[in-house]
This record gives sequence, structure tokens and C-alpha cells, in this order.
Amino acid sequence: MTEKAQLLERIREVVESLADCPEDSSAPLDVDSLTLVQIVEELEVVFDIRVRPSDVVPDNFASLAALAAYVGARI
Amino acid sequence: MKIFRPGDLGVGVRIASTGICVPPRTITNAELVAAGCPLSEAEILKLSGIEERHHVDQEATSDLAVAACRQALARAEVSPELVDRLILGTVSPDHMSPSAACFAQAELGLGQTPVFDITASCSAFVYALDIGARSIATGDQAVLAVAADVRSKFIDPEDRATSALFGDGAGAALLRPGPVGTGLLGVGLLADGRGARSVYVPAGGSREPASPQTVAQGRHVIHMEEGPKVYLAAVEGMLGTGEALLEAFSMSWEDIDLVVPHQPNKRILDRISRLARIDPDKIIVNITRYGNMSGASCAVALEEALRERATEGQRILVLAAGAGYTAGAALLQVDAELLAASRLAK
Repeated sequence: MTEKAQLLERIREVVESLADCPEDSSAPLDVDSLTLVQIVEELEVVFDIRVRPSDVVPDNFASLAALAAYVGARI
Repeated sequence: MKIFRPGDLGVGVRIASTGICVPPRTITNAELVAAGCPLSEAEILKLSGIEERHHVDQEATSDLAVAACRQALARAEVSPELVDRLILGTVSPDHMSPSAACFAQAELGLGQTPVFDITASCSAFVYALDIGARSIATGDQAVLAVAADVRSKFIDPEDRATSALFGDGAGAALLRPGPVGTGLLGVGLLADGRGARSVYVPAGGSREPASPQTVAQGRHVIHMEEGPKVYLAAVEGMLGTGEALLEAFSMSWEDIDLVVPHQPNKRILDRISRLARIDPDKIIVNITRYGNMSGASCAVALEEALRERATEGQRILVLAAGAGYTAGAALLQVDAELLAASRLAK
């Protein structure tokens, strides 16, 4: 499995522990604001990153693939 | 960020005493759920860390502010006639006008002392400390810096984002001149108006006057439009102002003995501890019992820190962030007289 695939899989595990997750990593993530906050917190702990307010935009959080791209650029 | 250090002017400012007022009626998570909160009791606790909060019955904001001020004055043994200024931070004044401070002034018997409200949301107490410190530095001898809010009257009980969060309360600090280099060492403030609509009460002001339509549309209650951004901005605000103020004093988090943060959400306090690597035991937490009391949160937490945890000479860093956005930090070195006043049973 490539590093990119491993990262995507790890992010899927994080999101699945908090919300329903689509099989297709490009499909929209349908989470409310409270769940989104929990996802942010968990990603920060798991990947030792810091999410800034300006990072919380659809481009970064719209799908699992988008999340993987965002996190990948920060680790 | 703007930082004020009284020592730079060769003057000293101290907090002579504090006072608080939290209304006696408690509201449990079960009661909120019964009133229509769309979260379960378990969800409220998990997402916010709040077990209960206090709401007023008939009281208004100035009533809570008066009680807190009376306690601060009694503890410092200062009569109301000696107060030179009262600064009341609130986003829930008794009426749109005049200021809640005017109502408080009459009730306290302050004579014709100048009084005014400031609006800095959950940063109100730190903003009031800043203005109060500047007043002392320019000649005032006794200044009341108060934060008081009755947010319970502006909540939609069925709103998922806000219905469980808010409690009512007030906290006051009496500021007086003191020795240079101790007491209230410095205050830093900032604001970012780009976040002005992130948490706000839309109707009732000049942009959108109150009408039957605005009430029917629920625009007279708190709207939190972008919860995750508000959550992250609160942490950034508190950490950023804290770090900047510490840097101004060539200090680091290790030099701080107690951290007294605004209490918007327990998860926010945990995140602050994690990101800044602050020992969680140093952080004063009272949100479990009081909820988010807006500007009063860190004022009440400061009183608890002084009454139950602090020792002479310790450094306390007060952190706040709120709607607007606003943020601020205040650095305090505890003196023996303040400790003694805090532990009086008045």
C-alpha cells in the first residue's frame, strides 16, 4: 500500500469512529458542525498537526480525499 | 495586539479584591433535554463538558453586576463613594439603552461616578481590566471592572449548537494603585471584525430593529453560524494573546502558575492544554458547573483561583476570546492582601 493510501486509510478510521463514512473517498462527507469539531480534534491528536480556523473550508473537509490531501500537506 | 504594561509608565496597578454573583437556580442537562434541546444528556456532556449551569429567574444583568461589585467592595473595605469609575462588560444589558452600568451605579450608590458598558463578548472582563488599569494609571484610585451576562434570555432552546452552552453570572475586580512590578502586570487585547457574524444576536439593533417578524424568525436569540471556526478561533485567540503577552514579559508558559481561561467548552480548554503543552492541573476549569457565562466566565474562574488555589507571589494568566472576534490576556502576580480579601466570607 502506498503512503498516500495508508494515510487515506488512517483518516477513514478516524472519521468512521465519529460518523458515517462513504465508501468512495471522493464522495461528500455529510457531518454536522459538532461532529466536524470532533474530527478536527482527532486528526490533530493522531497526526500531531494544528488546524487553523482558516483551514476549515470545504476544499479541505468536503471528502475523505480532501482531508487526506490537507493532512498530507501538514505532516 | 495592543499591550498595556503599567510599569512602562512607572505606575503600579493591583487587584484589591474580587466578587462574584451566580444565580442560585441550576439547570441540569436533563431539564434542557426536556425543554427541547436536540442533544441527549450524554451528548451535552461529551461535546461540552457541562453538567449544569445557572440561570436567573427575574434578575437582569445589572442585578448580578451589583451583587458582584458589592462583594468586591466589602472585601476591600472600600465604600461606594470612593469608586472613581465603573466599567461593565456585557452583551446582555438590561435594555438596549441606557447602559446596564447606569442601573448598577444607582443601585450601588456611586453618586455621579462615570460608568459605562463595553461590548467585547466573552473577552469583556479582560477588556474591562485593560480600561480599568489605564484609568488607575492616569489618576483614578478605585475602579470597578465587571463582567456580567444573562445569556439565558437569548437562547433558542431547540438550537443544537447553542442551547446547552450558556449560563448566567457576574464577576468583578476592584482595581487600585499598587507597587510597580507586582499586581496587574499587563493586559493585551485584540479584535478581528471579520468574525463579527460568527456568533451574534442578529435583531434588536440598528442594523435590524426588533419587529414581530424578527421575533417570529428567531433573530432575537444567539446565532452561531460557523461552529467549527468559532471553536478554533477561540483557541487561537486565547493562545495567541497569551503567548504574545508572555513574550512581552520575556516569559513562557512554564513561568505561569495558574491559567484562568474563558470557559466556552471543556474541549477547548483541553485543546489549549494540549497545543501549548500546559499541565492540565494548572488550568482552572468551572464550566462543568456554570456553563459558558460569557464575559463573566474568566472573572468567576479568577475568583476561584484566588480563593482555592493561588499562593502569594504566583503568576496567573487570564485568557479570553469571544464573539466579534475579540481576545485578550491579563498577567497578574498575586499579593498577600488580594489573597486575604479573596478568602473573606463576605
